[in-house]
Amino acid sequence: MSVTDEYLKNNEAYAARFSGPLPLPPASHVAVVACMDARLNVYGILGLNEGEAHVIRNAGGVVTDDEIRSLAISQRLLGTTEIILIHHTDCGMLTFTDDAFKRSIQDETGIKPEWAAEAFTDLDEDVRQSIARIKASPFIPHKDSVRGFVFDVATGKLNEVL
Amino acid sequence: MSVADEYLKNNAAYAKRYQAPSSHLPSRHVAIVACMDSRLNVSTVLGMDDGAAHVIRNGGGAVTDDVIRSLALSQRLLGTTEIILIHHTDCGLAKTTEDEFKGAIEAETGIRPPWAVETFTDPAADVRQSIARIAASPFIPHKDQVRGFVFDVATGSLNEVI
Repeated sequence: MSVTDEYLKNNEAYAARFSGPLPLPPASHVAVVACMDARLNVYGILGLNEGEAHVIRNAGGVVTDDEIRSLAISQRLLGTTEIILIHHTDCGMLTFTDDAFKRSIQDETGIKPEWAAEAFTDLDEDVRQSIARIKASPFIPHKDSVRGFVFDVATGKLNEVL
Repeated sequence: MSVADEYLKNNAAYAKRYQAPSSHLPSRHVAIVACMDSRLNVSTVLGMDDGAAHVIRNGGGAVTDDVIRSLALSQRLLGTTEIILIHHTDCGLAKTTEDEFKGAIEAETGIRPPWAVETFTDPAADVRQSIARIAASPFIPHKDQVRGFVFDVATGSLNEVI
């Protein structure tokens, strides 16, 4: 049995106690952008309930064009106005370089990815980089409340990047 | 007080009861790709433990280049081999069109986004489109276990797209 099958059994139990549906627009008007890391339970970390906030996640929690797209949809179609960024300690993105990662893919497949891997060396700096990309985007209307944090995977605490 | 400040209070309580997962590698070797929708709490929908799986989320749960990037890192550097896609009923991206959304941004800012919005009309067809993009990517090594689902926001059930 695959992990997927096991999770489908869990979903049957979830559906049995489910009370929905909730409205489509996030009740707290917040969008969270976080790393995909398995240790990062965004709902637990922030005390989020279902229906409160959009949760956008990718490798590193970096702001790429796809995050800009998602944030534009979140704010323009679904009424969010506040953005919370979460990167974290012990991130896989600290362990390689873009050049080496793309080289390894090229060696194996013959094709060099046309995208940046978005590796980084300093967590706080990468959060600031993500905030700067949001601030520079013409497609995101609400930028007054954009705050960035580093989640400490050892303690569970969020530390704000100022 | 911003919503972020309220969430920081929640985080202080979370950190007190936090138990750090033992490894940065997803223990179940799974990567989830899901929509950012606020009603979709992926961990509880699937009954996942913290540390089990990467969670990648964006507007629609569409497989964009950024999702390919994240999946490539997930599989090549962090050992995942199974992919679960989750789209859902009542999705915001089924309520607009590429031209309508991009036209509204262009009218307001003077700039038409260079990216696709990734709107769709049928969630099951969009899941198949996402699976097809993964299958076509040269950068994702493990494609034997890729399954897609539509989450029903009214019942909490996952319905597999075959």
